Amino acid sequence: MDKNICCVCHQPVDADAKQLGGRTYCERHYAKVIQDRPGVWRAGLGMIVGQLAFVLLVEILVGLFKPTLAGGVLVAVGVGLALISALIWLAFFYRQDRLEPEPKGYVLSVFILGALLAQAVGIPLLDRVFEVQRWLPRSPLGGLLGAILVIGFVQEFLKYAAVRYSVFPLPEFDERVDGVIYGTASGLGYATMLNINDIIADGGVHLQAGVIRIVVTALAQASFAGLTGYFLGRAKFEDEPVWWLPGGVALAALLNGVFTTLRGELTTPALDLAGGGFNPWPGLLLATVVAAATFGVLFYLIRRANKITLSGVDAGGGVE
Amino acid sequence: MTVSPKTSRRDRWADWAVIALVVVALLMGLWLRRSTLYRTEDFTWGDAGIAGRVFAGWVRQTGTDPLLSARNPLSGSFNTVLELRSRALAAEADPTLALDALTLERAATVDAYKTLSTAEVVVRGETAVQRTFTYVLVDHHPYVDRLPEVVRGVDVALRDEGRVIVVTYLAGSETFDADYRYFRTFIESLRY
Repeated sequence: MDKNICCVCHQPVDADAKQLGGRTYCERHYAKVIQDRPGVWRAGLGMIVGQLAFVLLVEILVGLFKPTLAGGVLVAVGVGLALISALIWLAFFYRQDRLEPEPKGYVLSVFILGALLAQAVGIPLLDRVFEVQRWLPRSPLGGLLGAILVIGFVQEFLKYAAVRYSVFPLPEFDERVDGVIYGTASGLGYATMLNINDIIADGGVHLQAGVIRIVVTALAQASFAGLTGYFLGRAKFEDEPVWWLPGGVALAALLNGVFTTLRGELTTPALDLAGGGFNPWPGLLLATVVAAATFGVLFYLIRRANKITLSGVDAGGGVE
Repeated sequence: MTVSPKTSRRDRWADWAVIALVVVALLMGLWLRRSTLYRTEDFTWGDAGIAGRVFAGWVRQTGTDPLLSARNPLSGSFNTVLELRSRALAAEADPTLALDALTLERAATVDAYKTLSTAEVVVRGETAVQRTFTYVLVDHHPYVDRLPEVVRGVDVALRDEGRVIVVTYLAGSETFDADYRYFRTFIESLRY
C-alpha cells in the first residue's frame, strides 16, 4: 500500500491527513493553501495606483522641464521607464509580502523567464512568422479573431509556460494565491521585454505618450497573466476538470485579443477635419479598468474558494 | 500517496490539453492569416480578353496603360504594386522590345533607374522574357518630408497573338522577397 505523503513538501503524513482535490496535505501546507494573503492584493492595488502615479509624475516632469533628448539617451531613458514600470509592482509586492515572504529569487526568476520567452519566442513568432502587422489591420472581424488566436494565445501560453514549467511543481508554490503572484511576475517580465523592444525599434520614445504605452502594456500583460495564474493555482490544489487549465489560457487569450483590438481602436481616432493621430489616454483608462476588474475578481474568487474550503473543514473535517 | 492516480492522470491530460489548444489556435491563426493576406477575387478585362485573380483588399485602378494597377495599401512605406499592360507587337518581333520601351518610359520618370538583368523564364509552360530593375523613389513634393526609397521591380513579357502582355511587380527593397509570392500567384492566374 502506498504511504501517504504531502503533495507539496513530499513529507510523510498520517493516514487521516487532510485532503483537497484528491491530493493529500500535511497540516502546515493545508493551512497555507487556503491563506488569503491580503498583502498580495494590496500589492496589486499598489501596482495599479503606482503605475498611474508614475504616468502622472513623468507627464508633470516632462511638462515642466521639456527635455530635448535624442538618440542613445532617448533610448536609454525609454528603457529606464520600462524597467521602472516593472519595478513598481515588485517593490509593492516585496513590501507587502514581508510576513509570509515568497522566495524573492523565484519571483524574480519567473519575471526574467517571462522576459526571455518574450524575446526568444513571442516577439519573433508574432513579428516574423505570423507577421501580424501585415494582416491584422485589414478587417475588423479578421483583426479581432487574429488578435485572439495569434497574439492572445502566443502571449498567454508563454506566460503560462513561464510559471507552469518552472516554479509550479516546486514546494514553494504552496498557496492558491501563488498562481496570481507568479503569473503577474511572468506577465510583467513579458511586458517589460515588449516595451524595451518597441523603444529600441522606434529609436527612443516620445516621453509623454511613451510612458502611457509602457504602463498600458504592463497593466494589461500582468492582468491577463494573473488570470492564468489563478487557474494554475486552483489546478494545483483542487479537483478541477481537464478543461480547467486550457479554459484559463483560452479566457486570458480571449481577453488579451479583445483588449489589443479595443486599444487599437480607442487610441487611433478616425481622421476628421481636425486631423487624426494617436491619443494614448483612452488606452490607459481601458488598461486601468481591466487591471482593477481582473485583480478585483481574482481577489473575490480566491477568498470565496478559501471560505468554501474552511467551511468544509468546520462542517466535517476538511476532505475533498 | 501524494496525489491520487485519477488526479495525477487528469493533471497530465490537462497539460497536454493546453498545448493541444494552443496548437489548434495557432493553426487557425495561420489559416486566417493566409486567407486574409492571399485571398483573391476574379478580375476580367473584357476588351483585352484577359482574366485573372487579384488580391482582395488591394486598391485597384483600371485604365488603358496600364490596364490594371493593384496596390497593397498595407505593405510598408512603399506599397507593393502589380501592373498589367497589353501592347501591340508583331508576331515575329522579339518581346524584349516591349520591355525596352517600358525601360525608356520609366527611366524618364524615376530617379536612378537601372536595369539589373534580362533573362528567359518559363511561365505556365510558355517561354517569356523577364527583366529585373531598380530605381529610387524620391518624393519631390516641397511639403512632404519623406526619405527616398529604393524600389525593386520585375517585368515579365508574355507573348500572345499580335501583342505582348507585360506583368510588372514593384516593391520596396525590404519587402521585395516577402511579397514576391503575390507576383507569382498573380502571373500564374492570368488567362488570355
